[in-house]
Amino acid sequence: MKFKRILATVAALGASAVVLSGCALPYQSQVIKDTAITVAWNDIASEFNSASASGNNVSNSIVTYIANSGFNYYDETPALQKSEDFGTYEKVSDEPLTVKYTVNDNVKWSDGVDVDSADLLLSWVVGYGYFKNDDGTYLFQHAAPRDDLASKLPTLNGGTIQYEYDKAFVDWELNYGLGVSAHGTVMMAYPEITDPAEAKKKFIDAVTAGDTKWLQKVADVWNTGYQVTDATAADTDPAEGSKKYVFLSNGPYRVEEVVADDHVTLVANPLYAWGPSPKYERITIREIGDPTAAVQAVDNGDVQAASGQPTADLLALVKGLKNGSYAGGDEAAFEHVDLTFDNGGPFDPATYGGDEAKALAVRQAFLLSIPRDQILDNIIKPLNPDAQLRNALTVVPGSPNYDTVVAGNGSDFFGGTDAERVAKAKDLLASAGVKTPVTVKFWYPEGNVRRGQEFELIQANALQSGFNVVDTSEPDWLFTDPSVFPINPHDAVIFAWSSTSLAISGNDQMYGMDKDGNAKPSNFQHYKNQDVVDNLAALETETDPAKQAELQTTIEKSLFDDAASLPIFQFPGLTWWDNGVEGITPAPLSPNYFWNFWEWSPAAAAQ
Amino acid sequence: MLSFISRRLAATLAVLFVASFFVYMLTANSGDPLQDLRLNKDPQSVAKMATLTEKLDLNTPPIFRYFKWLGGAASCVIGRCDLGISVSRGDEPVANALANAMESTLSLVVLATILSILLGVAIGMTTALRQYSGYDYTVTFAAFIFYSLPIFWVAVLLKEFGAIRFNEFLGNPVIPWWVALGVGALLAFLVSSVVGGRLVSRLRTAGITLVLVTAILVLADITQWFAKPSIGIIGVALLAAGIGALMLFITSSVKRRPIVLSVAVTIGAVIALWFPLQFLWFYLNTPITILIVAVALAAVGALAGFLLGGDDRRDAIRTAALAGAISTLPLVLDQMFMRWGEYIQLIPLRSGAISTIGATTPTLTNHPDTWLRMLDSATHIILPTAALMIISIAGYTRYTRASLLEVLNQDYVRTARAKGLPEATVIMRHAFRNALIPIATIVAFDFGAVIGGAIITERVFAWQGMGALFGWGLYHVDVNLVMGVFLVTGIAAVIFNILADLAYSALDPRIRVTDS
Repeated sequence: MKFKRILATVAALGASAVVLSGCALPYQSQVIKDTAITVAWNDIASEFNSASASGNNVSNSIVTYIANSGFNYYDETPALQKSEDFGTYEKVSDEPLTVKYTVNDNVKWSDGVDVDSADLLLSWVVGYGYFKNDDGTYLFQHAAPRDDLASKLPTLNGGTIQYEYDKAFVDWELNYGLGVSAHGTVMMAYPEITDPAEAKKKFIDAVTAGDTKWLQKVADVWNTGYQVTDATAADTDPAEGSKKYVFLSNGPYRVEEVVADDHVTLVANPLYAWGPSPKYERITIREIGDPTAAVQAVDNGDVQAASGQPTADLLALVKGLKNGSYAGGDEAAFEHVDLTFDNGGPFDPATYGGDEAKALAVRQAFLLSIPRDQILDNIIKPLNPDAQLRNALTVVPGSPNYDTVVAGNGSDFFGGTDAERVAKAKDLLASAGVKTPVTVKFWYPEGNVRRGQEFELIQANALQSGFNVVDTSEPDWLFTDPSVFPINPHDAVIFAWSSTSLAISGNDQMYGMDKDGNAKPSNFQHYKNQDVVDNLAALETETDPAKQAELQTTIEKSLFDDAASLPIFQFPGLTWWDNGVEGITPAPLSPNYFWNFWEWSPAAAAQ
Repeated sequence: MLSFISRRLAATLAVLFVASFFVYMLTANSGDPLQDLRLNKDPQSVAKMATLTEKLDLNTPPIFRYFKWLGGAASCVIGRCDLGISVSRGDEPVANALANAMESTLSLVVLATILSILLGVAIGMTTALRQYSGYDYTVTFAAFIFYSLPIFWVAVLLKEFGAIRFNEFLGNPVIPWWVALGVGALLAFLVSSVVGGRLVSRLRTAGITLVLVTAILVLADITQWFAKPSIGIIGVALLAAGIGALMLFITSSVKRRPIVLSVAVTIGAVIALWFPLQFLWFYLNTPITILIVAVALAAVGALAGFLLGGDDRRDAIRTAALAGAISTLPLVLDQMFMRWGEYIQLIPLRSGAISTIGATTPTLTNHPDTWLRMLDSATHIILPTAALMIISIAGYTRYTRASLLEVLNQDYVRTARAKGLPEATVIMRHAFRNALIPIATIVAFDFGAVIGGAIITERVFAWQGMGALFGWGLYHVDVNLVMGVFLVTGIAAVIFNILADLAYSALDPRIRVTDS
């Protein structure tokens, strides 16, 4: 134990010396021998290709995140950070949008083979849906192939890939990353190929020649060959394991053992030298679905860290941990109220004989009557004392453009205190000449305790300004299914939009309409504003960050001016850990608290 | 017999068909599998929704999808099961997921069921025999409390006190004198109530128990036994002797000298074999060793019974063989506890050994030492089993008590007593067997209930079995997965019902399952 502490001190000293001297010493591993940490997640990885349609879920992504390096990752802000020790990327030109990704020379897969352009090409082919079957389906079943974005084969050179977009694309930085190995995938498909270099060459040749017949087997492996629910340490051995190609990794750890629905163990990758060194020799992720069980597991020492959606009960339990700490923070989902525009209700201009101004006044008055402060103070702050009101619909708080957008999006119309807002709402209703009380059919998911409480607060507060809010809750979210309700029968609904990235595009699904003027699939409120549609389309192809912020502000201004929707708060999160561990920091975006796993280390006190 | 079973199987298939239809419809209509994606702002979600719709065939009405599923499931009969894929589990074939889950659930449920039958019936019997005593009232009171407890709450409490607090105690095992005395007094009350008799003899029993238990606890405290628990040859000897006595009591042969003698010789042989067996356990480090030793010890018992049984040879062979076989248990426990110190070093717990989640410690899943793995399994299975048992036992206790009391009031029991049979023989041979008939039915019902209870228990203890799969499937509206779980648990419950019917006919000569 004492020896470990000395080791850790030496390692820390070494690291700080490197930082102080400012020059790049050769990489020094800080992995402390025989240290292990067990952490909990609500599901266990079962596929080690997290880009495929079947493997694209958070639990798989966590494992591939820990086992691999990437060009970039989200930190706890959340902001996108680049990993330049692994590789670099840049925009080569704007017209047409051309980008270049380079993997550094020293980067290797865990079997010692270089990470190079063949691997980058495989990721490109799958992500842009380059190959299709005769029936129009994708050869490589990627979770979200974007063949609308790029269709010209990239140019390769050593560890570099350069390719052109067919149109400018705002989220180009988030749209490409390195996935599974090319040589491993090819050699699983064609076991007779034993030389990795040959595998890479054959793959590149097949892609260049468009040889889909040869690629079919490779695609089969890529689609389903990475689904493994059980593997022993012997199976995953990078030199001679029977499943070694499935578990090839290019990051700080490699998968050592998988037991279905129970745990995944990762062990430090001895070859890794292209990024911050992890401290633990082993990380084990266990499956615990029940948050209460996860608190007790940390209390007992079964696991050292876990996270979950907080409730008052859960928070009380976590606070009671004798040897544990916890942190709140935001999650990526945000609560908001949407108003329906075309159901013949109080917010539909048709109700007032097409009088847009009158309908607008009623919408504004209703959104003003939502007691945002009360909801935040009574329901959210007890769970997350630092919680703040969210004032933007399309931009995540903490992300680079948030402050700019909030300053100009007109959300200050809904500012002030709850009382001030009620007064303003009354005036609006009176000057519009609407007969009160106005009946509003309000939906929240029945059985959801938190939203039930929010409804009660809203109902009581809106009564003061002249709204009779009627409970039309049901548990099945039927209004989200257009086959059941082509038009949302509720006048107002409260729910949350979730997101897993900082993507700027995609908001057209919520607020846009298609060419025929029909609302897009997630535009349940049937909000239709041609300016918003045009600006969203313009934003999609805008690659200049300053202009992006401008467009986002304009779009949000329209949304707030039309009183379409009102954001309330960011979902609170809760992460708790054993005091024997240092460095655990919650983060709102996937992979959540795993984002800085390399900083996790045994606490000095626990050694 | 054959026609009875085939008729039952046909009825079973019909029941399963109708039930599966309802379950399928209910699950398919229980929610929208695309809901998470509909509420996601990510640009990718549109493409994902399209993929999922196609995979789940959502554009086909559920009623047609059911028959497609049925077609796949029905091919199980010809050995080509197609239960579909589970979309929420990354397209894993359902059959695959079930195979993994079945094992862990069955080990949990079967263990809990067997133990609760044994304990519940034993407690029920003793309460019936001591009807209207303080003990009877105490057990009745406790049974009603446990029977009405919600299992999720029991499970959470068990973890708090059975694992977290108990582990803290194991880390620093100090037993205050008043705890030792209190436990002694409680056990003294229970033992003296069960043993019964006149006041003087009850007081004597209570006194002996009190002194004995308190002394053991004080001794354990002084020797720090809980910090490094072990059984050793003394523990094995005591436990084996206890098993022998219990066997004699159950078979009501306490007063038959030849049988007592053969059991005593068998137990003596077990104790004598403790040392040589150490080598066997060490060099033949596999689970099969347990079977080998059990068979060998049973053979020793049978031999002793054969040689010493005299007039009661048949009974002596049976009783001694049984005592020998069951004595394997303390020997195995001894092996497990020998590895306690090593085990504590290997697990991540802060102190102690009882785990609150899962079926094994991840790092020990593939450990080469069988006995260490068994110790690991034991520390994991003990709490979920206890949670399932507490509630089942309460039921069994009540049913056994009622059933035995009814039988004891029958005329033939009075006749048996009148002809001068010892009370133990009357109860064990004449009354008990008949009292078991209604219990057999309850067991079958209870098995279904325990599987149901396992859904919650598995979630609370992060035990990855059928219950966890069912909950997961229902939450994600993954119809194929739910149907897979339904099929397995449904078939298991139905099979247990058939088994109960067969047990019925074996226990009750009035019931025939033949056609004539």
